[in-house]
Amino acid sequence: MLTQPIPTYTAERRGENTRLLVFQKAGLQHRQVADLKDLLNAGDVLVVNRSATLPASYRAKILPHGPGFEVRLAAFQGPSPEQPLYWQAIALGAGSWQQSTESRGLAPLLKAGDFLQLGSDLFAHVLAVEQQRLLTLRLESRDLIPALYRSGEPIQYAYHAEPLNIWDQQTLFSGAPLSVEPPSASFAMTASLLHNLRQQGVKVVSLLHSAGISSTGDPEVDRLLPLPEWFDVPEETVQAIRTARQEGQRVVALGTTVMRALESAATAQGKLSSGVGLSRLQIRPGYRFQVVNSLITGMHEPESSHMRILKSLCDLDLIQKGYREAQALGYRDHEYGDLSWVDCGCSPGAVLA
Amino acid sequence: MSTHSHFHNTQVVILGGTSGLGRALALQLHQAQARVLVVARHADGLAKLQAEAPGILTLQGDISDKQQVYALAGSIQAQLPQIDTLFHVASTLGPTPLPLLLDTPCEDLEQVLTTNVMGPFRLTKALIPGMLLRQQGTVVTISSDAAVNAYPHWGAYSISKAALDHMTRLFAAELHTQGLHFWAIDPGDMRTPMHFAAVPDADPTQLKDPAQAATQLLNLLPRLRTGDPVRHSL
Repeated sequence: MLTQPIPTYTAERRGENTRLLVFQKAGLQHRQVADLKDLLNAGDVLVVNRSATLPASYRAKILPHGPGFEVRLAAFQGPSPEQPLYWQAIALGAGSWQQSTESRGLAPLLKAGDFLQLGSDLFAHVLAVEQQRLLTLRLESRDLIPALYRSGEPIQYAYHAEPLNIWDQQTLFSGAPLSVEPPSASFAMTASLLHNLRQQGVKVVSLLHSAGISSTGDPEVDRLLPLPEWFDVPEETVQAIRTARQEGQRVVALGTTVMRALESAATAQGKLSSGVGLSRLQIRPGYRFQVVNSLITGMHEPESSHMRILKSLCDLDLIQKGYREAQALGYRDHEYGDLSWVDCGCSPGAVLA
Repeated sequence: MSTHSHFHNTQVVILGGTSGLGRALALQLHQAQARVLVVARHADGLAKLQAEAPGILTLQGDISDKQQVYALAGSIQAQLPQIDTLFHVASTLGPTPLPLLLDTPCEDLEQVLTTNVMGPFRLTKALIPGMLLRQQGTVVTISSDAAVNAYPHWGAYSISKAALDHMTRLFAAELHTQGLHFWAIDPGDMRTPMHFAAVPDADPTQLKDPAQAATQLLNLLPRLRTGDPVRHSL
């Protein structure tokens, strides 16, 4: 075990005072997020996710007379932010967010062709069912996005004392709502830090990535995580990355969702291109990065998919040493906790011509 | 011919656009081939606007309701990912006939501040991400001479508009280095339902047509530069 979860969870944000554990070849540093203005150089590119987070948990029933259960949107599949029609979703049985997902019962047996009601003006066609719980849905409503907000509740975490409000889930960059859980590495970002970074000459650019569900409670389904997730990388972002690479500067992903989008945009054609896609990438130790040198991310549990990403970006011994020190110093983990910056000099391989 | 060519192909959000100045701005910007989205509380007003100018996007919502802020912001930004101009037009006088300040219940002042100050504050925060990332964009708040002058009876509204002016100045001071513009515009006394609610015996011939105020405002905005005074009277 690298670390034990520390049970002090609220949605309180510490902004620039958030702790930052820096992993570099030269060694470890315990800093604060505010220090990024000194740690990043002029010409470095910081890429952020500008997706907002939907209230993604719905009380559902199979029409016409089925029993009630919960549907959680799990990952956006397309076609566009204006028309968020296709989703992968998880069916959960009786219980509430105060129980861990693992201890929730089974939802009714669902099959392709079922028609679900998710709200007063929100319906879903079940297009496919895998592992009993994992659904592919096409949503239907006269006014889909407002209906999603009207009927949904934020996805909650059992380790929080109070339920999260929708504003607890948004970041400084929240634009089109495509994520079901927040791209939480941005929680520490403030307008003040953005000013300081730009003043330092750091280029801050964005992309859209629909951050998907982090855990379903079903080991069979969790094995499939992260699910394919929709993303859109704008041309300006590709240009900024290309320039940084030519000048030997770093490309820093703020959050694993940004990393997944950029790496997926690159591997699609062997070079980094702008546009829309589905990230199907599973990053494991030994993965050769195409675009990203460096990652800012939360403090993760030892067996999570996030931890596999860290191990593929940095020497395992250093990661373990860092997590041991962080635990001794009382770093906070999970979505609203402290951050780490894995900056071990990884040199990506994609052709950026 | 469309006159406001500056707004051609731009993305515009108008909070409060089914009557008076907001409606006039929506119609003229739509005419200028901007992509216009109007938020208002009443579905019938939005339906009428759309009947008059098909192609205007509409969204029903109450900007004074904290619970609706992110639903509005998400719905708006899904349709308009790069907002160029945001107009805060919606506002309330509070109960009429307008009472003296000392006769104003605390709850009424609070409600006016919620709609006229907290609403624009929350929605500016929620709608600014695209502008902040692109380092361009303009936010316009609608002011009043009551923001500057202490007219008896205009208390709650007057206080709220003074606060809104100053909020606009503060945003301008803090965000001009990021390429963002904030302007507080006093359109003058207009022939609007709100003005007649405040001054029932107003002489309509002495009041400006809101369409004229909208034209003046849309002519003024492209001429304003960083460093100009934040507040302007039309």
